Amino acid sequence: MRRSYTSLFLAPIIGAVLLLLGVLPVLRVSAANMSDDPAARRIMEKVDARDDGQSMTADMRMVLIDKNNEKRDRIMRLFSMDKGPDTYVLIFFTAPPSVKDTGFLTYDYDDPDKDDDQWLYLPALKKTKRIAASDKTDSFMGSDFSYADMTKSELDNYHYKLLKEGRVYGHKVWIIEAIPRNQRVIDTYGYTKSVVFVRQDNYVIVRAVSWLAKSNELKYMDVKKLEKIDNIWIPTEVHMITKRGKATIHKTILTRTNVKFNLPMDADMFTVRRLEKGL
Amino acid sequence: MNQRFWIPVLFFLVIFLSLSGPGMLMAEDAPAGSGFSLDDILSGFDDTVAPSKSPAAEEAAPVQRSWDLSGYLKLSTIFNINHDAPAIGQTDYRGLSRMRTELNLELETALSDSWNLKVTGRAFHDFAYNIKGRYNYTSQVLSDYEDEAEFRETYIEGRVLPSLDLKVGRQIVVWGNSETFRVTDMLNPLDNRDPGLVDIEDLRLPVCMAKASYYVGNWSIAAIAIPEMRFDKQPVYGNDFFPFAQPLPDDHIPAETPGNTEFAVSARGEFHGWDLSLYGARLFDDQSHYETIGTRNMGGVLVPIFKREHSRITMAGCSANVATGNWLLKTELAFTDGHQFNRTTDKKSRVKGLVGFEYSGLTDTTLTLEFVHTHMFHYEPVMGLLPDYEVEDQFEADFRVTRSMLNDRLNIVFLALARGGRAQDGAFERLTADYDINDYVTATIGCVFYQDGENPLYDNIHDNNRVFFNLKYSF
Repeated sequence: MRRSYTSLFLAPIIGAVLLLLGVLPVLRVSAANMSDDPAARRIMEKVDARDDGQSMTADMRMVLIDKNNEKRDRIMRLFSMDKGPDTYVLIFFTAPPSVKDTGFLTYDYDDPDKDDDQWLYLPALKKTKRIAASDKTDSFMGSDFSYADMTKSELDNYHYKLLKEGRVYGHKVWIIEAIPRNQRVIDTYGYTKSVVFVRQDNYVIVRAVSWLAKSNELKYMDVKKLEKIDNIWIPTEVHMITKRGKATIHKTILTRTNVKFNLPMDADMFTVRRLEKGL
Repeated sequence: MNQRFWIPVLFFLVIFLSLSGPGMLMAEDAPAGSGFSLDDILSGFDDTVAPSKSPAAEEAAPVQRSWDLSGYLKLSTIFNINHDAPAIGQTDYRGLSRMRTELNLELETALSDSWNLKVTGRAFHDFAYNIKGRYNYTSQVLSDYEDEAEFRETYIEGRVLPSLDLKVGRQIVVWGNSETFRVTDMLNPLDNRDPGLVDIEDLRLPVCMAKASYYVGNWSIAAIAIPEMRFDKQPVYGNDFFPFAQPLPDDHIPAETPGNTEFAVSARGEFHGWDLSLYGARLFDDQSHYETIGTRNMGGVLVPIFKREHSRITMAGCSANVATGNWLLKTELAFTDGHQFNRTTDKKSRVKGLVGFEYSGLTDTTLTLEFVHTHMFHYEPVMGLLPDYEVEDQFEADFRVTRSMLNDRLNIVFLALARGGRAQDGAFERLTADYDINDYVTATIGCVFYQDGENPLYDNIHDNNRVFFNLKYSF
């Protein structure tokens, strides 16, 4: 063999970069010794058990607004289906032109020890890429929502504490603190703590504040419009604002239209074949 | 170790990390919300009630049309930053090397519930040759780089049976997992006219194929026939990436007859956490070899006349991905047989393997590292001479960092690629930053640095260092 492999040229780069990037998690919290507040736990169990349909289709639009009030759009068509305890989600982006025809397929497994399967179809590459991302903290298409925000978190990932009661847009709510049970949950979902506002009449989380693990920022989720479609409550306009202190860093307005639940849907819809075919 | 490789690598990494900001490096010291009471924080909501009919919601529904026209208009400029003044009669490569306007149009329409038609055309004109003087360039350069108009992906596709799809026409089929190296990805030729500078969406050249895909369980099986003969576009005589002092002989493109049709089959299985693909193909080699087609009398001496031919090769390969946590491990392996070279009489076979990984555990960042090894069987030392410059074993590696910032408004990609374990056979580094001015206009700036290698094909390639600026309007 003509070439020596003893000095692989990139080894020093990788070493330096990983060191510089601080791959080891900086923030460590321990919630192992905390215990659930039974009242809060009961409420969150009802939130978790709330009917969200066996399947859903919707048109979604995200308006991304920066601190200079400049706006960008992300428009997509979403399909989701429950498969046993797991959830399959397929999203096609239709606008703007730079992301048009991009497709995203996720098998979101209920088992916390099982990594989700994710594929991304990139029209520029003309290929489907498998994605390995147990860390769900990345921004979802540049929005203030992370991939974690777009998936359902496990009830048992958190310790809950009922802080107080209050009102949101005239509706009575419980205000509940959720603390991740372990570092894995923090690493996966990106938050060290959340406070959620649960409406007392329908068990929908209508507001939440989340403390980001990797920055000194807070995320404010606010359901501005909640509709009952096919007898299921669904937020149809949600604002997500990233703040540092009191200052708004970035904001996303997510709207859902043409929402339909429990349409007959085949598992063939949630395949790489369908992802590559597009809408 | 190739010192000239490390200087730009370190320079680019420092730039990259500087642009990335503190969020990539480590968490801020102060925890989120510090300095505020919980009540302060919980009162941070905007209590404005949404209007009953939100304008955003009104616009959310996509316009339903039976056809869709999209595309882009792009202005790309490239400057050479390293060339010296030319000798008399030689091309002056200094300064502006491209000022290209490019239009890409794509029409899609549904022919029926299960059949679609797509037509894509692309055309460009490069004003750099007029600006610098067309007399400055060879006819080959003007022919290949100044203007172009062609159909890109143009096909009909649809469902023949519930588990059988058919796609016929000019298309791109990508095999394998690597975005940098071509191990199993052999079906579409590449546009290599400006190495390291071609946009990924333009890199593969579509070829006319008929592709039937059958789906069963977790597997998809594809059979492909390729009647169109199309080979890589390479730098031509007079371009500064062209390594020889005289033009190459004419390239003989095989006739598009049934007997010359290329064939390929693939099987891809998708499973929880991993996937596996198997490939087989009977193709023409993109790399050509010389054949003597006669002699010419030059002053009483008979000089051979050559043409370039493409030999028929057989390929078998596989690729696999394994996703675990934030790591994507990938591998590819391809065996090809039937390669012909200029100074040997028998056909050769070679094996090419890739191992690599992608790490996506850093927020909005992906790190990729890949290693490739190619081994030529029955290697003969004469293959290392002009014009083949083939080696028995070739090691290559690439390192890529992609980072999305400012809520996806700014995307930065750093790529370093080296040939040889110590980059002694040549290398290049590229830093690119794409900035979305709005939903329709993207500005791109970047630079590419090349390093020479022991391989004569890369002699003086360091002269070709470039900076570039693109402005793209998509619609």
